[in-house]
Amino acid sequence: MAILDSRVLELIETLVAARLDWLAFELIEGIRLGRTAEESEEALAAARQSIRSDAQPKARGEPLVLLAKPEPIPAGEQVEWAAAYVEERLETAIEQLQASIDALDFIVESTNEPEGPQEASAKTEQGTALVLLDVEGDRKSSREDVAGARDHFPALRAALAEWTARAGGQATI
Amino acid sequence: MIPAVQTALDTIVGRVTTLEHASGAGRIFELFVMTSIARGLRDAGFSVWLQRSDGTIIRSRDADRRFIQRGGAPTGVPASSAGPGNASVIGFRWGRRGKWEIWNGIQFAGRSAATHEIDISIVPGSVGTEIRKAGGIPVGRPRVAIECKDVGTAGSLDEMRAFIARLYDVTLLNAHHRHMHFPDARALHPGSPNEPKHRAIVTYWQENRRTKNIIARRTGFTGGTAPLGDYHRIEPHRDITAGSSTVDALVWSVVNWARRNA
Repeated sequence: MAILDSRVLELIETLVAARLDWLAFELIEGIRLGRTAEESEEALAAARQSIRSDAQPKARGEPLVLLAKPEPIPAGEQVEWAAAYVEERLETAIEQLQASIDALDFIVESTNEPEGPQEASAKTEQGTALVLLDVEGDRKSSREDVAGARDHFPALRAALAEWTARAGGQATI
Repeated sequence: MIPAVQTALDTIVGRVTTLEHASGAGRIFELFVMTSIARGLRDAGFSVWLQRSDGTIIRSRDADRRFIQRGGAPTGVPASSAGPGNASVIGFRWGRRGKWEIWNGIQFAGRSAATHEIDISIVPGSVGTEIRKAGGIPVGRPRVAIECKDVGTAGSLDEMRAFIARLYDVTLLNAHHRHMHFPDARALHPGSPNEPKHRAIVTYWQENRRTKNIIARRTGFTGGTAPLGDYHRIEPHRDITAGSSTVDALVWSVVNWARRNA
């Protein structure tokens, strides 16, 4: 199991302060578990092909694969790994949200299901918004919100790079 | 604390507050998979629409164009009488054939009476219509079940095992109906059409084959998971991210199933 590099704690505290506790937990879990050997895309594609072939699966009863042990992320690499993880994780989520809102708008605009006369109303220019229902209150994300968040990614990238360079110059504990 | 990083994060999270929620990023991933499939169905010629929890369709001219996702504990299907403020669904159909619904985060009851959340499920529209009369939890197996995993670590054998176990518990075979209270032996209750493809079948293998079962992951799978998925008919899809060709492969798989079955 990996030992947590104390320099990463600074980033974990920052995530918690920014109300991203879940990302702080993910970071710790990722470092704890380390890197594991993964199935190749070829093996996964072969499995998908086999499933779609409708062939009756044959019971083998012999172990074909021995599970490899995960390799811890060395303390000296954890700062860079953590910075890259935070950036990639948030950027991916924002890209997915953008793609989802695009798809929702496309579907609403292209809906051709017949409607009853009582449903007809004036056309609006409002786009589709995503609302996440929660006991603490609803969280709404619109196209403008996502665009605003994306505009700040260069600043996040630069800040993380600066921290990585600074923390990398400090001694590992 | 790293002030510059915190300032940037505060601004990003302030704009997209969904990210504050413990499962917010995971819900975004599920929405991405759900809407990518819906878009793929539309591109393939299906009629596709967004539907509020009261059963009404979201139109382009509507002032209220909110697509609602549930963020808290998993639930069943809310009654339409509860209004449009609960989780939305996506409907689709081919020509004048029967309607289907794509659900997000709905609990399905299994033979054991335990309930299991299926991240993305596809069910006949008649099942949705029937349950929305009073609200409730469907019993049986959705025709398409997708487990979405938006986690940084690779998918383990335990993750695959858990999904297989869930699907086996919600599988209702013909023989199981001798001990159940349903008037007809169907794969999913209530409201499944009285058609051969919706009737309960004889073996698990047949049910595994006629349904579509997928684990969709933002990252990869650990070694050893492919044979387990292959044997139990769980398609493994890795690296599901916006703009990736892997998304096309996932969407194609579901669209192809819909062409043959919907």
